[in-house]
Amino acid sequence: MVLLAAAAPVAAQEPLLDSRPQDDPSFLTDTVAAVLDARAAEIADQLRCPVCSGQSVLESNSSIAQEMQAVIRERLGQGENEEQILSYFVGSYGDWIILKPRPIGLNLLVYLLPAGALIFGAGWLMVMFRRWSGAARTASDSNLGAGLNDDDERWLRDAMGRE
Amino acid sequence: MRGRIRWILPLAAIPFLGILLFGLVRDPNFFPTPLIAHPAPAWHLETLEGDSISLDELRGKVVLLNFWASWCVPCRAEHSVLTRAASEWPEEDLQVIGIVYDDSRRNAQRFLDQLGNAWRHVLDPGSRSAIDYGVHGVPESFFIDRDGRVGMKYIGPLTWNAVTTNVDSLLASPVTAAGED
Repeated sequence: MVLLAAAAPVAAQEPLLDSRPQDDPSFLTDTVAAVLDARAAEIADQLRCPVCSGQSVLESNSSIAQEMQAVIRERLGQGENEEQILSYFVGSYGDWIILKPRPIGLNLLVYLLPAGALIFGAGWLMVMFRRWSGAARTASDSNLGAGLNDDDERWLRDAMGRE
Repeated sequence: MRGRIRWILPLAAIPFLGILLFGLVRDPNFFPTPLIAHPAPAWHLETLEGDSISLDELRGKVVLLNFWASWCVPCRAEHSVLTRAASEWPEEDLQVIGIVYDDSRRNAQRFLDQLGNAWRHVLDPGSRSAIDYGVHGVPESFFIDRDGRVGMKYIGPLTWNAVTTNVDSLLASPVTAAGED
């Protein structure tokens, strides 16, 4: 009980990071701006910078990327949502403006081919390993290595004392 | 078994070779923009001299919209092609319009003073029109038909052949509108 009573006044005296009262209009616009900036950054992060190699619009320092960020913020301010803004850029540039290719149609290959190659490679290795160790095993019973003709093979078998 | 395996590699190569061959027969300057057959994005921009033009007022004529910059080396090469285009067709048939991309009025003016100023050029503050058209480098040119639809996007310095082929084709018949989205 005493601890709670002691905690309350301490909490009330803790300074806010922003000392403006929350009904101050400039506080409100700055907060809204900060939220819009954060949303704009999320969208910019999904777009490919058109003049760079593999950088997002958020990462790039090029002027076109800066302009695109301004367009995103403008459209957010006008009330558009993320889906609408992304469609706008796709409508102007094409699908490649989205950094991560959407897994539909031919784009599926981007995801399936590497996975497929890995599985295929692993499978091939497994088969080859089995074949290599199998060859070592069966060589002792049957052919004793490649290229021996029948006479030599018989002689070798006798020498090794096998059946 | 061994005999059949020998064929797998060459057979697997065939689809890849097919893709490469397909690439060889395509025009490297044609860019598959989603804007093809769609209305060209509208613009209303200020010219270098301080007047203004809008795309709307050019309706009824074929428009060759060329994005360029003074710092763009291939833009110098295509300048003579565009100069020729500007005089080859009457004004009521073809309008050549230059849009300055990511450059200052002064630099653009200096470039034209050096190479000739035979058609109208507009400035694109904030690159808004460049973004509308999906421009990702210069030079890029759009051939727009009489109804305001995009017929073709050409990337790289224009050749005379490309200009005549596209302008004549759009003069003969406008682009059929794209289907419903």
